[in-house]
Amino acid sequence: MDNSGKNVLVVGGGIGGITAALELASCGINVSMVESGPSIGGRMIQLDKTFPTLDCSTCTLSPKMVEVSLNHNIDLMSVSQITHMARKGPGFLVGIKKNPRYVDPKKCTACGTCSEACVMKDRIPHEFNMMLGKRAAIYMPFPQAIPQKYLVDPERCLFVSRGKCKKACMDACETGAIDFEDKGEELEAYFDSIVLAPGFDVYDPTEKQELGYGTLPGVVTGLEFERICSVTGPTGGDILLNGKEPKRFYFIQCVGSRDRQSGARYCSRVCCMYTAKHASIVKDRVKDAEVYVSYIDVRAYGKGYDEFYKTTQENGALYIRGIPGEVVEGDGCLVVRVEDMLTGEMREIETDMVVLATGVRPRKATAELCDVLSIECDDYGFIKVDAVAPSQTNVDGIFVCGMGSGPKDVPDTVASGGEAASRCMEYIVKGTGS
Amino acid sequence: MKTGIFICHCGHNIKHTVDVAGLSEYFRKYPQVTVSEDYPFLCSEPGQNMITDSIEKHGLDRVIVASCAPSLHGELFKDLLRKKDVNPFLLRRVSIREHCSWVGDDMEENTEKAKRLILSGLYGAAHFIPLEEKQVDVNKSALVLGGGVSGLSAALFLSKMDMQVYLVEETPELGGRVRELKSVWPSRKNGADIIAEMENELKARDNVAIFTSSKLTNFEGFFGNYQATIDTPNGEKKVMAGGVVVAIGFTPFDPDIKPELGYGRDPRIVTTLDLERMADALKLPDKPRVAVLHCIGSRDEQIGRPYCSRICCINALRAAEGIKERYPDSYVESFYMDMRAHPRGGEEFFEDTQEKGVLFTRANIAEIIPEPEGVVLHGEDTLLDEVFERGFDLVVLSIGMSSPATSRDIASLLKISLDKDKFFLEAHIKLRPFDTAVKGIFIAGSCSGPKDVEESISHGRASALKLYGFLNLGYAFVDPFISIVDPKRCSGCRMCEQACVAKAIKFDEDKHVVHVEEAACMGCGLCNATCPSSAISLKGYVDTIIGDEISALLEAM
Repeated sequence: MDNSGKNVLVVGGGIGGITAALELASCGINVSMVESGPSIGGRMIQLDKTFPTLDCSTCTLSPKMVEVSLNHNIDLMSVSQITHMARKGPGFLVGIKKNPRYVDPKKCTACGTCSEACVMKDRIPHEFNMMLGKRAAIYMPFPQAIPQKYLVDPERCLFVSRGKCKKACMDACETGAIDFEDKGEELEAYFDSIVLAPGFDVYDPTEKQELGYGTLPGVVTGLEFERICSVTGPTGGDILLNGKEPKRFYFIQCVGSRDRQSGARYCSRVCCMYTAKHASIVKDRVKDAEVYVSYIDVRAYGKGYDEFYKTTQENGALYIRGIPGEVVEGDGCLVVRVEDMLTGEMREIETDMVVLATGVRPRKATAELCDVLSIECDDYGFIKVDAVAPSQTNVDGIFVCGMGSGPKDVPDTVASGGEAASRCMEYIVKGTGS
Repeated sequence: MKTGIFICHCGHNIKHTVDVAGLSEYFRKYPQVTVSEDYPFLCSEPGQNMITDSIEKHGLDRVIVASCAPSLHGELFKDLLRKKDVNPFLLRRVSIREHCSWVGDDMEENTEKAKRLILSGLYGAAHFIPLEEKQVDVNKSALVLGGGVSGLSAALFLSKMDMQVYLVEETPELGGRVRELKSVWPSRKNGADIIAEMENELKARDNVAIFTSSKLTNFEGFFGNYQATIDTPNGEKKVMAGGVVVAIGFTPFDPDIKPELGYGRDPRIVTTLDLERMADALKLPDKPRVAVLHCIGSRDEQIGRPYCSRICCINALRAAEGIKERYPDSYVESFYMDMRAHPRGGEEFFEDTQEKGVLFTRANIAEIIPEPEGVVLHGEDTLLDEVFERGFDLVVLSIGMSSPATSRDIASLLKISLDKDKFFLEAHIKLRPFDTAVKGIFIAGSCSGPKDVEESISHGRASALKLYGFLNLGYAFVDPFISIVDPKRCSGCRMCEQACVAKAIKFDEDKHVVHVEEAACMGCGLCNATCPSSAISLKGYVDTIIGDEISALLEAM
């Protein structure tokens, strides 16, 4: 079957979108991938390791990201958004806004001298590192980013935002790649079908004041802890808190999941396992570490997960059934107050670091995207799907994969990416009547 | 000879316990080594560029990549050589992650071992010769094993993509286990209706041959050109298939294995599956006392089922809800270890079931004893730390998924692997969850581990799409690692013919020597090892390579 000349739009460049795009490209489809951020890779590329194999996340995903950038059937658009959509026959006429990167990708060699020269160097909180660590206004989010090109953050660049800067980056760049005249591009194109892979955000636990996030140093979220563990993170992968290695760790599960107060009755499906992973990373890297995990139910439901949970316990992580009532400041440490439901006893446990296993939320931009595309969402803001065709949205020809339709772990996201691509193929073939 | 050595840190994975910088420095002293470098992630774009730039700059004719095991990213690094017009078989992968850094945490020992392994690669690579991959045509047809919801999803998709499909189902009916479910989570649709829709659509298509009450009896050939023999009620059928989707499902756990549960000895003890079948015929008092037990045949190391079966918590909740709806005044108590209501809508369902009055007790059940006045559960409440005995009119066992009964047979016919629990093993759980180690053979649904209906459908389609992507090209490349016979040395003893599992060795009666049919040879090397006259060798793995690699491992350094 000759599928060339067929065009599919994939919105989102995380592991779900990447899987769908690569599968479609291998069937000969022309894929346009629109990613809102400066690099593809999504949330998965922010992770240090992945459960239950403890494979390094970068080594699992990076080759697929490179494949996307090299595949002749895939056109990657970074820092871009969908602006409008109109139905046209079986397909869709879609408006795409490519925001300026202010760096000519053909000239940039990713040498990094511009970033070194930037007057804002080490002054801007780094989103990729969950605001831990600082970056410059001209930057690449992480060394393995795709596209492997620098870009200017227009909001933080003094020249773009205020018109006042000596533009040291331009002097530093040997290839003359920096172009402050870059206006980006707006285009409109026809697509035979669309796959949405908008991904997710994590719950912000600031409102749970009793847990001390934002007020007590040493209380971090799960994703922040990933960055602390990661080689590409702010500490180069050394588990440090204010420059010192903590010895006592307390992990709290179900923060913002299975919790009406926080507006999420659902289970986020990944936090039990990522906590078990964090606990085993700590046990592996921090000598004589003391590790506690608070839980309601341990949901180790995937292949090899229960075995992994068991090994984590055997390696010395102490599991306490019961979610702490509060975390308070102690004498040079943090104190966790928790009722151990198995012994019925109230405990006060001293610790150096508290990691909140924050749950999954729809990505903020999902609502806007769904508005533009007339896609229906559920009460939580996840995209509604047909349970027997789990990538099928309410709009014929638009499919969804990954966390966009609800919490999923990496293997389930990969499966849903494949499924969405298969429905997409079927829709296209049917549309042409072959 | 110009060899480039590239050593990967793999983030923390290797660097943590191997002195990577020391290694790259060490190998620079060898005259045949033109360049020796280390990098945090060789598989990322900057890492790949480092290799291709070096090939170009130094005109490398041998590339050694010391990183993860060769099974991961094998093609990725070969492609880098291809891109620079260097024969991809001049690449040598050395595993310093799985074989060194992950094994122990002694930096000195690990580094020493990595040094030996890289040296061994360096010596072996010196004997490498360029090899050519042969292009073969592929058959645009697929064999789908298993007619459950996953197999049906795969078959339907492939058929719609213009592939000829052969669907083989062991039982007389299509639909597998889903057909028996009254209410499929989370759609709440009737399983039989879901199946009927798929079955009707499939049967209306003219490129699908369905064989029910049939089984695969023989399987040979290679990617793109497999030949399958199927035993059908109408006799033996032979079909050609480009590839295979294995979707043979699971076996419901048989509670007989745990005699303390009393299953089969009293009609008041039933499984969730029994309950689906007999719900209408259920005869209970007006205010029945019903117990629902989770984790029957799951998370149980004693009986070799250490894994979670993923679906049984929801099944248990559905059973409890069903009883409550039928008998509003019933007393329903659910005994669980961890409540795994993770599927879409599952947590809300769990809460609603509690609100409907179902009691949940975190407990371990030791024994079920049927007495005339009731079935008595003996257990331990793990929250109250109390031992209890409680009588019920009905006990429902939420049974887990066991590996498919025929997984061993299918695995040996297709030469694919099983995991420790006898489900099929994925090539890589995240990178290649549908692939097996054999090209063109994919796995889908619960035969690779417990899955619910939604996940099985996704899997079936995703596997089928992978296969379609391969076959739609119309051609494939065959590995060049095949055996070659030196006719001058061959004594015609035919021992190799016996050893060959791929039936690739043919005897020439006239010349009284054997030859290898290239397309059929799998490159396993069994014939090499068997040949008493050393007349057969395997391209890419000749004795000089193996010998020199071993001496590098033993050499004084």
